[in-house]
Amino acid sequence: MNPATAMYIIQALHGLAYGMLLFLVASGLTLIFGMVGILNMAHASLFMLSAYLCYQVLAFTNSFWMSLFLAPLITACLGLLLERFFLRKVQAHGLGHIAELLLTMGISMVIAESVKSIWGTESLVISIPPSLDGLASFAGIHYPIYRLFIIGLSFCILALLVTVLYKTKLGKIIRATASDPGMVSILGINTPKVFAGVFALGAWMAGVAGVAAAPMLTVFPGLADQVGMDAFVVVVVGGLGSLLGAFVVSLTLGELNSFGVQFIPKLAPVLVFGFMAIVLSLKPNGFFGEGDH
Amino acid sequence: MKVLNVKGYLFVLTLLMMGLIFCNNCIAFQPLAGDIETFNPSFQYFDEDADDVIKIGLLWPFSGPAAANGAIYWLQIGWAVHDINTQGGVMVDGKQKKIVLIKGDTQMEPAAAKRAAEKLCLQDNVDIIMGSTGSHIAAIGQNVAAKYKKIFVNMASYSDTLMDQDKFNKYTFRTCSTTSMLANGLAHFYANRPEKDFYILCQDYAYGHEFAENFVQALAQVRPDARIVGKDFHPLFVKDFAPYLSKIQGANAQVIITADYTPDSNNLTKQWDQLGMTIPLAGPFVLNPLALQSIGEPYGKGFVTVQSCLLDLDKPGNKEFALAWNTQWKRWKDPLYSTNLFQWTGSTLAQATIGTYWLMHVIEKAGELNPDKIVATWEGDQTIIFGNLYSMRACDHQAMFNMHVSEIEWPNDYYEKSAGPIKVTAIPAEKIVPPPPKGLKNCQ
Repeated sequence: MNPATAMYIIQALHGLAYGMLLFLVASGLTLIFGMVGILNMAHASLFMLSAYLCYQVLAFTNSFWMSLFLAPLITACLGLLLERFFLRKVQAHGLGHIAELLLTMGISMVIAESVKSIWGTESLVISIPPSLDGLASFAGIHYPIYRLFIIGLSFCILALLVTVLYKTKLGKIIRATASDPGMVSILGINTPKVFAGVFALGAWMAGVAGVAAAPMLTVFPGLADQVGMDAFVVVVVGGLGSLLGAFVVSLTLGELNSFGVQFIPKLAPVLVFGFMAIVLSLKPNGFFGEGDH
Repeated sequence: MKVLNVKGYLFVLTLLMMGLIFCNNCIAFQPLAGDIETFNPSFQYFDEDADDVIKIGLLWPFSGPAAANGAIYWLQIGWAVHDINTQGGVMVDGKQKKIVLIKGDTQMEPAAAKRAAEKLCLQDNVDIIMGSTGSHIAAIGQNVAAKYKKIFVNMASYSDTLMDQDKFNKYTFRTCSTTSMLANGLAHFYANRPEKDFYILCQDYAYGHEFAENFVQALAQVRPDARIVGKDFHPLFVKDFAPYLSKIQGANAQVIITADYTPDSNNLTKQWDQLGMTIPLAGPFVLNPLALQSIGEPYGKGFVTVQSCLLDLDKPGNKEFALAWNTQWKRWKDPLYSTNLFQWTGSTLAQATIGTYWLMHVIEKAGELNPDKIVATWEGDQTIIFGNLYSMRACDHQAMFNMHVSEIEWPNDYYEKSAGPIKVTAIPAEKIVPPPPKGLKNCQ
């Protein structure tokens, strides 16, 4: 293959892989905001916690697949407890979004400090599982299998979400609850349970992202800050609560980063924020955001 | 010749006994002569209110995302302090005084660092401040220390500009390398190597740019036929290095020169491996046993590391230190310090330990804690610690010493699952220490 063509394909794949990883983190965040109306500042911390849990499960079982199953599940359970015992009470008292923001920020700090006291402050070693290690070759291009796995996993999660939300009765209930909880409640549906379930689902997605990122990135107490900012950019630019927006913006940011580094490296870090500024100046609610948020 | 009678012998004997008693108080401490077996980095306790002690403030991040860095220096400096304290302490004002360490948490933020430095000076009343990771933080530390006439010992910030004519103050000394020393050392290593096409990948702030500039300049002098085939500066804490690495592959580089430190250096190493790259990384922080362990065999074999003090069991002095450290490391159960990262000392790990021993030697030589006396004593001082010669340049207070470079190998005798230095090349200080800063009055 022509080296220039190969370069374009490889950089496009890099952008896709990072964009999809970003989508995995951001989708849970936007889902929670879109359906429950909570801007969960602890989302990135749940992502980080799951990466640490991945390390721990790996230490016990030596199985990445077990980590991929257990760590998000534990993170989802934690999300469920947080919603049930903290966020629901704040909402019941009608304290509004500011109280939710403060509460979730506090939770993120507690998670960060807990992580340090349990696992220490040093970086942890998580290797790529042997079955996903190595390079895949196609048309003369060699590409890491693990990155292809992240791309595939993210598309599977996206497909699962879309199917559940738009093709099932449960999805209808969730969307109806998000739209008019009072009416849904009158129809006999336990709306607090629906909200709790959605919150747990969002936390589970953060957990999946944490496990997927762990072998690729460095697991250390700053991981949440490192990825959290990008996830918030995705959610805001995509439109708060919009899954499609999160998907489009994640991919755009990934590709902007890849090709920015290739062609205009000095400006590459600014491209993301330039893109955000342009979008928000033209569409203040983000690409697919709705005005009522 | 008159022969001494019994009374005479008794008189001489008494004099000898008194001399022995007196000398017992004047014997200087020696590195590794203390009860180092009782040292546990996780359980270091210091009585901050004790009288007649030497109070040292440690200005490092002990909380926040960079807390791991503070924990490393707490270990390094704690080692030397424990060693000295268990030998009775440092002889000051005619008596042996123990050393007390007091933490000043910078949180790696300028505002917090300034508050911490002010507290150490005003509230804790420390005699000396040691610091600090991050040149922007070190600059704050040395300014605050100078304001209160306290000695500031920079053991961790490499930027050359910290000691130039604008920032130099007479109370600040730097015992660690500078960015230019590291870059020059690496360039000299490649003077006689077959590789000649280099790609520079550094962090996009003063330190990364300084390192790159110095490397390019030094390489042009010692290896005129070498080429810089590309240069990129990435933001701090990059998540995805793949676009950079693919670009480097396309540039046909033979070596990637990087001054990155963690977490960037770890991410770079991991993603370098994931992309199946074979172009070796070279820089001060590529020898991280944890990161190298994560990438599997051959665990970073062929990378090149440059440090002021490298693990070298063939070198007397260094060998004793390394073995003593490794023996103790096996006893540390705290997960914070029991990882392979701390298995052996050397590199940045050794730097602050050596700096602490040196400072205490200087205090003992000065005989008092008066900062002006310490300044006068340290300027031009020379000492040998663990087989390396250290000199303090009088005019700009920059420590001068040989730089050590090694291509790391696996398998080796040090790490089971990480490459390690086997053949260490010493680059003489006169080749790598930059000239004194122009414009600094003392240096003219």
